[in-house]
Amino acid sequence: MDITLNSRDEPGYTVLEVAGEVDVYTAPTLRDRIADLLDAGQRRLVVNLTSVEFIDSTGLGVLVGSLNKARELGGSLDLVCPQERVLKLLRITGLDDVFSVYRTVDDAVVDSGTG
Amino acid sequence: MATVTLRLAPRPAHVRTARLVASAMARRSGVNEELLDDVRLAVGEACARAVRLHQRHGVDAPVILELTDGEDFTIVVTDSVADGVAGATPDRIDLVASLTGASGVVGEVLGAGTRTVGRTDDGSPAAWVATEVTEITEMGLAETPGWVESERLGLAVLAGVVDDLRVERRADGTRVHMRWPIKD
Repeated sequence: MDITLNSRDEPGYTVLEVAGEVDVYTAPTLRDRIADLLDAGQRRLVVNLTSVEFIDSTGLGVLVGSLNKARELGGSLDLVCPQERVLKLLRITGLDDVFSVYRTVDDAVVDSGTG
Repeated sequence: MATVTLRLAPRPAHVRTARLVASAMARRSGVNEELLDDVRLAVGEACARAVRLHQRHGVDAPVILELTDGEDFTIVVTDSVADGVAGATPDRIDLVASLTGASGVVGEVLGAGTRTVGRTDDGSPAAWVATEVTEITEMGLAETPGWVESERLGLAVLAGVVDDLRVERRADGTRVHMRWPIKD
């Protein structure tokens, strides 16, 4: 399986739906897509990892790099992730302290005050 | 005891193949079902690191993956990039942390490495990642969002999911040894 990315603009935020495998092969695609959204002026990004089958350190690194970039621009990048497998990875790497992680897109939007 | 050896051209697309082979063989060898995700992740991390390293150095030799089942299930991932940046120190780690502004992640990674591996010589993941992160920074790759983070996070993931992890640095490359129990 490859990676599938779909973004949709909502009033005040943009949701990026990620599906498939995010690894050393596919992570550059994710990085470029997020960079495009930031370049296009989107500042509140919600990255939905619900349909991700697999993510490795390259994928996590892209998310951290993108978060730093979003913050430099005065924006935000929050994660949606209900899967224990991915949550475990975030805990192992300490990234659960770096990102705001929500169970659903609605939770993310409400909490960041954009809904 | 039987060994399966894979020689992977250092291309990112092949890392997935390595993961699939490793998890299939781990399952067949009798590794506990609950550990299969860890095997898949760990092999992916070890191979991704080796492939990134080969690419940075323009080394086209294959990354070698050896999977052996016997009393336990072992995987060894070998790269063939000579050790060019020996002697990284904690000072250099701090430098990298301040460059990237992600010191929390660094601390977490180093904590994980220290907790998991008792060796403090060149087999220590902490020294290992310090060396590689320093190298990436010096090559200017840190400008690309996610590069430095991936190296550090890869180590944290390896240390987090492999209880029995050993890193063997040799003059001609690095061997990452991982081992899991097989149920009776």
